Amino acid sequence: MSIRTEYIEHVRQERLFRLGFLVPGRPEKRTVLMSQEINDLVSGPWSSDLMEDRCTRLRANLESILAGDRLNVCWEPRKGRPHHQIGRLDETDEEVWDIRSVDSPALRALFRFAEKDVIVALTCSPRSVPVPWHYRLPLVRDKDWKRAKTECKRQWGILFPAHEPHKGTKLCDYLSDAVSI
Amino acid sequence: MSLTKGRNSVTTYQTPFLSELMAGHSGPPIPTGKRAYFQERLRIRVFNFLLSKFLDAQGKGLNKNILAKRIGRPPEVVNRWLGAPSNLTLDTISDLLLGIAAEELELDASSPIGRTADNYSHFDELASLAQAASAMANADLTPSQSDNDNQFPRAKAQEDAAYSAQGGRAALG
Repeated sequence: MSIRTEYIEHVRQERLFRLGFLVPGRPEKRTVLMSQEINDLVSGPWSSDLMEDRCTRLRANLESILAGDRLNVCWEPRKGRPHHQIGRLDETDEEVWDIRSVDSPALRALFRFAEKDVIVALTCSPRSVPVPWHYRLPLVRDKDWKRAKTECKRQWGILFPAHEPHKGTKLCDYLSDAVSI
Repeated sequence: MSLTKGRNSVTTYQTPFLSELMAGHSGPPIPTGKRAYFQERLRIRVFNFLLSKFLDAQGKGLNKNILAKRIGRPPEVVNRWLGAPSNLTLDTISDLLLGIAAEELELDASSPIGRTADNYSHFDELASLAQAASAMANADLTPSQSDNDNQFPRAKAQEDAAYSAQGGRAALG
């Protein structure tokens, strides 16, 4: 079974959740699939106004990807800039990426590509400080990142035991309308 | 407040989300999360607009140092403004647009209520390609091809063939 058939089946079985627009009107030019964890964050219910405020901003960030907005990508790990919306993480051959939601408290959603323009977002962690409304620890030290990447890869392995994530050599192999500046 | 509503596994549903907006001026307070969502959408939209203007102008020789000089600001400040949506203010948007493109922002607004969904969905397109490939695979199966070891490479090749047959339509642009 191809990976495409598998992720479609995961959506059908609600093992993955497909992001849609809260306000319709724009075409869905990319695909954003989410784990239960991320779907819960961006869909609610939320335990506090702070959580609701932060998580709906994260949702707006994800919807921007869905809409096909031009993405500014950190192609070289550890050389991220504040305007990078997506980044490739060290080690690059692991094919783990993150979505950077920079409002305070900053969040990082770790994902892998199932194919070009198909993002499978699996875990979400606060970037620098713990948040009371989500159990994952912040990504401060290298070992925190390593732990988060391991969890992302573990969840991928459960969903797609027979498939490696999509690999490419150039940014355009992964995303349409993306730049790295 | 939850935004979740099952609809073919799409996580959200318009009407509940916009219910407070639809209630008009005498309606209940608009929840913090909804206001935050629209704030963030606007920030992203304005930031992407400016960044796109800057990238276009870069192709014509503009850089951040030239831009900084033109609008009388230190380069590191311009760098910060173009660094993240949250760094923008109305004044900085005006300065950047003037310096980048000698333009001013034209304003317009529309209600999110009652917008019709766009018909294009990247996911739906991929799903229909997968379905077509599966149908082709079922139609073409011979005993030797039904061997499990051969199924994945063949199905993938047929998905790709189906994709090419449909013009290999790029998802974007």
